[in-house]
Amino acid sequence: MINENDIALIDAFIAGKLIGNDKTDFEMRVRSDLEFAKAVRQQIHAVEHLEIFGAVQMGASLRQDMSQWKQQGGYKPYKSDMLAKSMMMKVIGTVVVLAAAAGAVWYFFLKEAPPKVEPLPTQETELPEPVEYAPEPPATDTSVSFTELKTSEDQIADIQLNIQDPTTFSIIELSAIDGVYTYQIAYDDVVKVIQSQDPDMDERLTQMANDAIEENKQRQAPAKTTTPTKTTNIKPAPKPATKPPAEKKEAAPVKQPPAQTKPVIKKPKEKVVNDIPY
Amino acid sequence: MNEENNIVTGIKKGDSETLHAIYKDHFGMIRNLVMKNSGSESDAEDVFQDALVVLFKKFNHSKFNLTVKFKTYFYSVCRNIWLTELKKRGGKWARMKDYEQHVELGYEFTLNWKETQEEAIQRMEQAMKYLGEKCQQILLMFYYQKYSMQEIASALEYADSDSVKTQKYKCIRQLKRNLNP
Repeated sequence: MINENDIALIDAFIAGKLIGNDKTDFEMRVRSDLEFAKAVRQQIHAVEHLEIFGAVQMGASLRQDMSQWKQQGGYKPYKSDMLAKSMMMKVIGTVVVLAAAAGAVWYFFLKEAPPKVEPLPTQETELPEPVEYAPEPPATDTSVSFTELKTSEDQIADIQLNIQDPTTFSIIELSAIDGVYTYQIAYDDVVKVIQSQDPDMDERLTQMANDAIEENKQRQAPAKTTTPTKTTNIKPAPKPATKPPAEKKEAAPVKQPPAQTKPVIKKPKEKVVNDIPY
Repeated sequence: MNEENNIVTGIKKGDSETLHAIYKDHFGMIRNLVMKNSGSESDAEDVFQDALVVLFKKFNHSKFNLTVKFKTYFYSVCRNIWLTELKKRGGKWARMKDYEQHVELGYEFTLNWKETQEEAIQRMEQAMKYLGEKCQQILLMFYYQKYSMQEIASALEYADSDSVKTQKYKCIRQLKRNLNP
């Protein structure tokens, strides 16, 4: 027969409070006493059910308490430490990435380049193409070309340098507009139209040609005294008494330069026809 | 750590003040966890309730020893309970977004204890019907809440612990009969 003390002993065993000889004696009795063993089994079963039932009861009671607690003031608002840390890490990460990007942009695009040592110019340095003021006419060229306004001395020097046979030299004044005089010059096989601000250009050139012819005569005279020398005294074309620009224009046998021809530094070269009466 | 021990002791006894303090301090965390993972406020209350019951059972196990902060452990228990529920609702690929650190728990925490014990609960409810209210109280206080005879005598206004002991003997014998007719 299971009594009150047996129940207490079984409770102690279930709670793990039996140790040493008490535990050994208890286990010996379970093996030998069938009624006691059955009582132990039933009590373990009952305690397990009581624990489950207790949990259900506790849950139900807790739910009621929770509704009361909610009404009494509820719970503290939640702040996630992990989320805050995560946000902080994201912010720091973003700042680092932006700083790195800004640094990269500065380094590759905005950073001032160190001053470069300019290499000394070498022979390969391209020089600007020389401007041809007057093309070199071919030997048989009879075309008429305009040259830009140079000083009278320059123009005279040009002709002196280029002229082969001073006896072929002739000059005609074509026009005089706004103080710019246009002359047609012919020497050797070249016909040129030049412009000058020198009103006495024709006379000076004619004088130059005559001087050259005279000089040649004097040089040849001691060697060939018996040889008659053909001389040509070039005379400048007769000048009109007055030089009204309008009349000059009409008299011009060749194409006139534009009326607004003012002293300009460069003028585009203009090939004129071959049908000039020379 | 002393505060943590007080919480454990309070849960073991089912102390109302301790449970209230846990609700006040940690329900927000559990509500956030559940609601951010496809749950509702009501789901959060269920999870909180079940977690406390699980802890109650676990802490009353003599071998249990709390090795991490209570907050972490409680969050982990709630997380497991809600993950189990999510898997039941949405399939085995349910995933959790976490808002606190958590620890891995044993297999028993992945089970819905109510479902696994459903038959036992029904049998117990039937058996307890035939016990008087005093008997129910004595048995639950002694076997579930682990009160001593003296404490029960004091709480239920018995003359002494021996009276409680005799009363408890009668009650458990009756319960055994009811459970094993």
